[in-house]
Amino acid sequence: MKHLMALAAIAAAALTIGACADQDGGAGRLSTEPSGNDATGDAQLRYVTTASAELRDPRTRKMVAASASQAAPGVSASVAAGGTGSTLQIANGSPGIAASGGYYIASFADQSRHQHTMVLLYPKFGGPPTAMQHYVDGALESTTGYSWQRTAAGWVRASSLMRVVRNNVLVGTYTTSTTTAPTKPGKPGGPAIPVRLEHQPGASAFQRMMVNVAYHAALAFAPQDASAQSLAFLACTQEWLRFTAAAAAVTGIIFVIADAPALSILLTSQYAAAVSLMGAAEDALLRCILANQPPSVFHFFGGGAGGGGGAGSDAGNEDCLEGSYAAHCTTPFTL
Amino acid sequence: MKSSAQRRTLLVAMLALIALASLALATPWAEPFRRAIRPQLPSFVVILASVSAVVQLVVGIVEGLSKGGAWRSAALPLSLGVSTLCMALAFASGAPGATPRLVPIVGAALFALTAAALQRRARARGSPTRS
Repeated sequence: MKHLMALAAIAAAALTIGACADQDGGAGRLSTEPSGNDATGDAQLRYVTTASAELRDPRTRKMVAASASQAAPGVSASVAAGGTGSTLQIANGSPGIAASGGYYIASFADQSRHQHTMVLLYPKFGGPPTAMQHYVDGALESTTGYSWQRTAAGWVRASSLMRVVRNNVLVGTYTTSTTTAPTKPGKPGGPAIPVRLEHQPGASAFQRMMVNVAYHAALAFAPQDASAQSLAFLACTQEWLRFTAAAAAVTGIIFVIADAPALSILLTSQYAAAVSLMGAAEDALLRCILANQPPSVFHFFGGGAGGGGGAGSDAGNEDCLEGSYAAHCTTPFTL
Repeated sequence: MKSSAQRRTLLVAMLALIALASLALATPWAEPFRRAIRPQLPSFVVILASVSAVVQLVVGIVEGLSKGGAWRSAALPLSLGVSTLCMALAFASGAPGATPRLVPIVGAALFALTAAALQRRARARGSPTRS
């Protein structure tokens, strides 16, 4: 029984580490934010990011280029066109990288109780998202398409196109493009910006693996919001009881086997049956938790059987994965 | 198991294996695997548990009867048999992908823990110096 408690404590600790690591302290490692040396791989890499913006003039209703120096009358522009900025890099193995095509939906409510929903669309071959859509209270606010350049260390955002929408009207666009620049500053193409080196050196491979495992376990076991966890628990009481009882049955059989004079075929088959029962109970529990996890959905196409969201996962929406603003891309995700 | 150390090692290894397997099954990467085994699990449990339960119950009854009412020694196989029978009953419908029912699982757990206690007591009685 001591060992059981020790194992339970280890599992709880792993979950706690994973859940806590999702907070600010662990963001560098667990989000898709560039993660320091891991992202660079080659310290000689230099990037220049240029940005341009276009806003809808409310009087002429035309899109006009905007910059800090020459904003069109009546247009509030705070984006510098042709300027430089930091690059966006995603290191290999980051949780935000998908192994296959699909989409990820995450929701949260702000202080004004507006429901924000972020949809990340992934290409068929996986990698970082090629498009992101942002909804507020079910209405599309912005859609952004990304193109990525593969590097040895991961991916570097080559370009992005963000389109801002209000009341189904395009009111602004914001584009960025990143090019590899000469290593010496001052050359044509703008000043070179070193890859994000201000981060602390990354953790070891083993530490990263442990944190990733704990993070995914925490993500799979329960939603990250505490109230949502309690909601999921209340909604899945029967499933929790089933799983607990099945685990108790497995534990009992294991103790019988450990104390038995010899391991017989009969005990082995009973053990297999108990483990299968526990697997079925765990599967039911996980399905219940995922079904009662309103804010977040993680879905990838590659599985084949596809029980869930359906409408947007068929072929024919490749352009959506490219960040298209077409109606058929946005409709399936209007939540 | 011969020695107490061996027994403890086996116990820890099996429990750790189960805990790790449970955690692995809960990760997002295991979703295709869970989806794949979901239809097979009920029939697997029903067949395996039914056969084991019948054998254990028969062994228990025969042992109880053959020793002239010494049902104490038959309690262990009977407990195991009833526990495994409850496992089979949890999937009585046998439909692919069915969710196990709660009451039979609780019964299976109770009888399995009873069997564990009986086994431990039997071992302690058989070799009082070890433990």
